[in-house]
Amino acid sequence: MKKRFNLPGLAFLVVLALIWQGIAILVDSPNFPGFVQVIVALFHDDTTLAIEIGYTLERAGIGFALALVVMLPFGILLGRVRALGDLVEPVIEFVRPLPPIAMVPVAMIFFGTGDAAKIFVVAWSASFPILINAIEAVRGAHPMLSTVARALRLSRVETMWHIDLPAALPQIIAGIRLAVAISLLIAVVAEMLLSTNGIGMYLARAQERFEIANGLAGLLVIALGALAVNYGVLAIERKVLRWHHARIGMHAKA
Amino acid sequence: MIWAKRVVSILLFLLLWELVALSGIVPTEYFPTVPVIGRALAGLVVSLEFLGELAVTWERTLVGLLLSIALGLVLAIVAARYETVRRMLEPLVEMLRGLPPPALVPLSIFAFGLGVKLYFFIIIFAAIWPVYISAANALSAPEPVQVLTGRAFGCSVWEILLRLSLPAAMPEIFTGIRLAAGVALLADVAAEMLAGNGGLGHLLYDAAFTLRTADMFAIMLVVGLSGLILNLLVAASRRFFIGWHVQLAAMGEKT
Amino acid sequence: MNAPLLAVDHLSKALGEGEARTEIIGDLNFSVREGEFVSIVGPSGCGKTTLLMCLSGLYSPDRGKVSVKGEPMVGTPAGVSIVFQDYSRSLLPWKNNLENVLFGMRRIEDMGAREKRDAARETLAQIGLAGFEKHYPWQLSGGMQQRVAIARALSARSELLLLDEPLAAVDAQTRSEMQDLLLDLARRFRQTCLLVTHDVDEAVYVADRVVVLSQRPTFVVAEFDVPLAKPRDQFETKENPVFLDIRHKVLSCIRSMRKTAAAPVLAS
Ligand SMILES: Nc1ncnc2c1ncn2[C@@H]1O[C@H](COP(=O)(O)OP(=O)(O)O)[C@@H](O)[C@H]1O
Ligand SMILES: [Mg+2]
Repeated sequence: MKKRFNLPGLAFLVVLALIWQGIAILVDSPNFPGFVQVIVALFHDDTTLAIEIGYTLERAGIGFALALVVMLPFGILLGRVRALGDLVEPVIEFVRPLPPIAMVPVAMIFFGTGDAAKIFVVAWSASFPILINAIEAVRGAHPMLSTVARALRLSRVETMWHIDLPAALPQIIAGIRLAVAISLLIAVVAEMLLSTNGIGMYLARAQERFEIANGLAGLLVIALGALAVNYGVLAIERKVLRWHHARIGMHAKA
Repeated sequence: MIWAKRVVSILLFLLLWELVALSGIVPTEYFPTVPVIGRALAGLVVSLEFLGELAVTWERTLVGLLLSIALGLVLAIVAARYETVRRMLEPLVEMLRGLPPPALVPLSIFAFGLGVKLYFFIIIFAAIWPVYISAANALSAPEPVQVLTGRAFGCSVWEILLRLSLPAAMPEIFTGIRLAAGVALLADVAAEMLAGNGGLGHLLYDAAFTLRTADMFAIMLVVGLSGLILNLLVAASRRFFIGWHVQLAAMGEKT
Repeated sequence: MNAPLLAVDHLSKALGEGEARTEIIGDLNFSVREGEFVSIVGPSGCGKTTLLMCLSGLYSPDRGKVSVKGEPMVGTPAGVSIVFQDYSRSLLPWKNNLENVLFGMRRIEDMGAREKRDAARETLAQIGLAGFEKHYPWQLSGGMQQRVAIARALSARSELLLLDEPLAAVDAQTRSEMQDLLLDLARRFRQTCLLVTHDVDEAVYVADRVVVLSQRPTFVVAEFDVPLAKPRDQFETKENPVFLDIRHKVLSCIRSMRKTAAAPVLAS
């Protein structure tokens, strides 16, 4: 599908910005900065903002990577080895409804208020979508595939790598996308609760100092960061899945 | 059978917890034993004050969720009716959706103070998108034969949208609502932790900062159970509103 | 002389966008009188569904006109109702069978809600679905779903009922039962029917008149009256020399058409 340039969408954003600016001029109060003031604040604070969002992205990235490295194999294992899955799954279901933010105090008690605590909370939150999607994806794989694996006399590890992973890839990637979004969200919130730096802290500080324009600038940076991360993930996904589809297509032809 | 398995699994989990707590790998002040947490929980559940805070969280979450559903649906219906509106909202939605709702708490305090409006705003900001997106997607791609049927029997464009496409889209919309419910509770607890002013999130934060770990774990348990119950509520209302689809799906699974 | 119930006058219709736009209906003329049962036979893909869409007002013709009782058609007139080829998907899955039939009565104004319910129940009973009012359509077999779709169209009290290959997807046994049911309903409801099919036997068996369509872009190749007595009988009627004669004529008409269509291909 060809992506058309979205003129109404852009025009709407511009109109909103203009209306906002108009109201700000009418209200004329430092507590109601206009769009222009926010952009000014954004450029005035640009190095700080870049550094702070850098911290945030770093924590989100490390936490996410940890979750991925641990939970993806674990999920595939749980999906593959039925008995183990049946044993562990109720526990997952038991802890899953906990809002990830509720883990912040736990992390604080065990890891203090340093980086480790925040990374732990991010990793914890990112774990669930990865784990649950991996389990379901592997379980939902076509039964034919495991027969093929047996016929080819693949070992367990080989089966996981050559059969389970590619077959389950689309759903696993869906889980990973969710996890990426959650990682960023939780990193920001964890920073707001227990940090000395990061964009979350920047927001909290802007509030304490009544610097509303700066606060909005921070939000704008987060939104743009999230957008960029999302496009990055989409691009990677397209690449990975194309490889995946091409491979399947090749096998079908052969 | 399935329940037996679940019970065994949970019991094993608690046993593991107890062993870790007793072993002393982690100081017991930080990692209380199961009975200690149980007593803390019992103490909380009989305290009227705690029940009051629990009610506060539930009220905020439920009302906020219902508002999100209503607003999300109205927006989606307009977007499905007018393609231009849908395209107009696209980049804005994309941008706002990327913002962590709790990040809005500091600035929202300026706008709304610490009252109930603050929590509603944060919850709506978090929970409206799953509803809007699932509804707008489903409503904009109706089953062509159903649209023809509507036209053939004299339905206007609005009638087709509201009386045919909307009921047909309900299953997909409920998927969005289920997501929204989880997000609503999360956003509310986060806002309570950040803004204070009562609710489970506030209590949790308090317990953690005063190192009352048994209370903290007990409150976490209550938050988790609240999430579970909220999920069950959504499932029950799904059965109530789209029982036909639940049956239809069950039939498909059998064959 | 009265105007016919339905008059199709130099109708023409193309579908698709831009390059892909193809003329489906070439130049079509025919009419249906009140009380008649007319069947239309034509090869698959010749534009039968497209034609019915034009006749029910769901598509607007590119050229020519469709009139009902002498009046040019506007919108989707209440006087015409249609049973879609994809009948299964045309039933609303969140409504039970009774509610689906009631949906067909939404444009009837001189009846109260109660009256409508009773009438809908009655229609379902007449079509052999008494006791299935509370069932959902997807809980029924294909043939039963088809009956619900027909009941819905019948209950609209339209002057003209359009049926798009209603029996193409059901098994042979059900098919002959349904043919007799259709005939019976048309008689009892005094319903004018226009039935589209690609099955020549069926076309001749149910109809007072058979209209044969050409390949795309379609036009009327021939019309045959079917002067067979009603009620008809699956065995007697189908062995009647008159039936066999008309069947033969329709078939040879279709065959000669296929030859002329194939000729250029053979020549090249
Ligand atoms: N929207 C469309 N755009 C282009 N071609 C179409 C469209 N709908 C149908 N057609 C073509 O029109 C022809 C006639 O379709 P239809 O009326 O459904 O035939 P029938 O009902 O006789 O089998 C078919 O060849 C089909 O491919
Ligand atoms: Mg057709």
